[in-house]
Amino acid sequence: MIRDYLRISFFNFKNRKLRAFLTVVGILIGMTAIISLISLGQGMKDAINSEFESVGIDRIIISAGGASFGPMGSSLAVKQLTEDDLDVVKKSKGVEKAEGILFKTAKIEFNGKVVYAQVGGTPTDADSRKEIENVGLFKVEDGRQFKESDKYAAILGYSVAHDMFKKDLKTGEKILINDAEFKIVGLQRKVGSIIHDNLVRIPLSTAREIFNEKTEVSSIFARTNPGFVPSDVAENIKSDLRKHRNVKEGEEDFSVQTSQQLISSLNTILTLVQVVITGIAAISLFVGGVGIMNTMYTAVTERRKDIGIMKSIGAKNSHILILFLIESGMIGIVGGALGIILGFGISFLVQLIAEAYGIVTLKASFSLFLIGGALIFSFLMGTISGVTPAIQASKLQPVEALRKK
Amino acid sequence: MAKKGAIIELRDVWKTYQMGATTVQALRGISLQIFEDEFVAVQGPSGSGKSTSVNMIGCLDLPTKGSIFLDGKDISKLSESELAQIRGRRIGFVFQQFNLIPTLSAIENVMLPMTFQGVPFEKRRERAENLLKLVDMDDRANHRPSELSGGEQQRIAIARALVNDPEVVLADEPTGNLDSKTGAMIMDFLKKLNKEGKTIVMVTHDNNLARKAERVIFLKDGEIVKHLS
Repeated sequence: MIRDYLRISFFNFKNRKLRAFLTVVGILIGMTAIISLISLGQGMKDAINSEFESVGIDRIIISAGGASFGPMGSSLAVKQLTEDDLDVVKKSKGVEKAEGILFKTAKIEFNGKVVYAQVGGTPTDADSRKEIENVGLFKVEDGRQFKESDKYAAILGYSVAHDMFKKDLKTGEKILINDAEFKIVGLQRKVGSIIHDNLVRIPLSTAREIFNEKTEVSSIFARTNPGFVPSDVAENIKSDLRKHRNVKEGEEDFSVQTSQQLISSLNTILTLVQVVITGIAAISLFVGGVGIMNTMYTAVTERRKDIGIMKSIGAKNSHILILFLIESGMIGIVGGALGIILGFGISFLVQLIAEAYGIVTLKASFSLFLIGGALIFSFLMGTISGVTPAIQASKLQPVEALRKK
Repeated sequence: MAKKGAIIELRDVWKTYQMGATTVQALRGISLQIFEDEFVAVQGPSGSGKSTSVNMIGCLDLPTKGSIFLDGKDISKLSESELAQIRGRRIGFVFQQFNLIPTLSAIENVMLPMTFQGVPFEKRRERAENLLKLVDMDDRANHRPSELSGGEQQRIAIARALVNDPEVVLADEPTGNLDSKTGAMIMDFLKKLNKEGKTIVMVTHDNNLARKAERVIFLKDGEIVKHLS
């Protein structure tokens, strides 16, 4: 039975190609927007999650000011973190290791061309080096990591070395950072993170010198001792820092976040953004649904006589109802299927363009669940839009319907 | 109660239509019986109520007042879907305008009534092919109605009317849109069906055609004015 209904609906569809196509376009646009936004949003989440995973889930990040996603080194906080705070963190229960890093935006000059980039002063003692070198985001593909004796040495993020200047920078070449000459000792591999690919690392002691910051640290990165739960250790750090900085609970001028917390709060924000923009895109899907309803009402008027004929040869109200519902559902599903193809196409294109500009976090995510869900949704959307016209069609009296010329 | 042998009986049937502010009395207390294996012609001028009475006989319409009996059972109070089932199984329609579904091919049109009765596809196809052979249209099975002549379309419509093996075939001006030669051919076919045991009720305003029926009912202004046997 359903096969016959599909056939009849398909012929009706085929017979009014232009109108069917225009109706399909309404759903297609909405579905394209939704699929590309969800695909890119999910891809971005996956990429960020994997980036955090490469840092490790036993990390705790301490920053000055409240919890925020501002750029590292932004001086919005009233009271910066210092080496003293770092010492407090190092002594907190459950902390195995802690490093203070100084981030500043600095002038980078090479062959007369000046750019501004984030410079991170990182500790170069043996322990800290081991710690940093283990993090996937700081792996060097050309040259080497820092030595303890390094002073005016720089390790460049991938984009700094390859995209910011006219020619690719090589190890052994000299650059000026805030007018001080540095030798490039290493080039980081491309990691797809805007922050890490655009970062210039120099030894912390040199950074203090050229930025004239004696004790400030922008962020403290701590690692939890095995056997301790990161969130418990974060609470210990919080408590110790409150005492040291003399602030009450709830009025902290610093934030302590485990990498897990960072992931989940970042995911929450991304999900929220995704829901909002998908919601906006859904408006066009709603408009598409209204288009289907309009087309189906026209079809009922146009095919009154066909309805009368079918009723005269034995079609029940339910047969006519199903026939029209299948037809509107078919418009929905065709629009949905084309929208899915186009939506994934667009998100893949965005991924390619983003990759060309070095943004590897903007990825398209392809999931069968999304495809299946979108197909079911578009069929339901079409069917629901066709409900009232189909009811109208099914309730036509055969004699009246047949009278229609 | 209908007497033995009456398939359909209309008892004091009235039909009133509202056309804007005007009330039209299409039927005024008609009573008639259609017996098994009969060939009945319904004649009358335009607006006499011929088509309305045939619509009642064919369960396409219900009376404003009065009753319709099918095999002695009052069907005037049945729902539209129940009537649809009766139409599908027991009555075959042949219309003046042929009334084929334009988007379907000839064979698909013939198969359609069986679709609504839930007949499996293979059986439908086989039966439709046989009927197309019967009306000599098997070589045009895959043509759309728009590709067929009037006579060919009417033959397809007859095949469609017969596909569920109905007891009664209702033909509303079946030759009205055909030339006389094709019309005569269709008429012969209806006669043949009647001989094979089908009850035929035919609306016509053509005296020559009506003469070929066993019984003629004359209508005027919604009333039966004459019966000829």
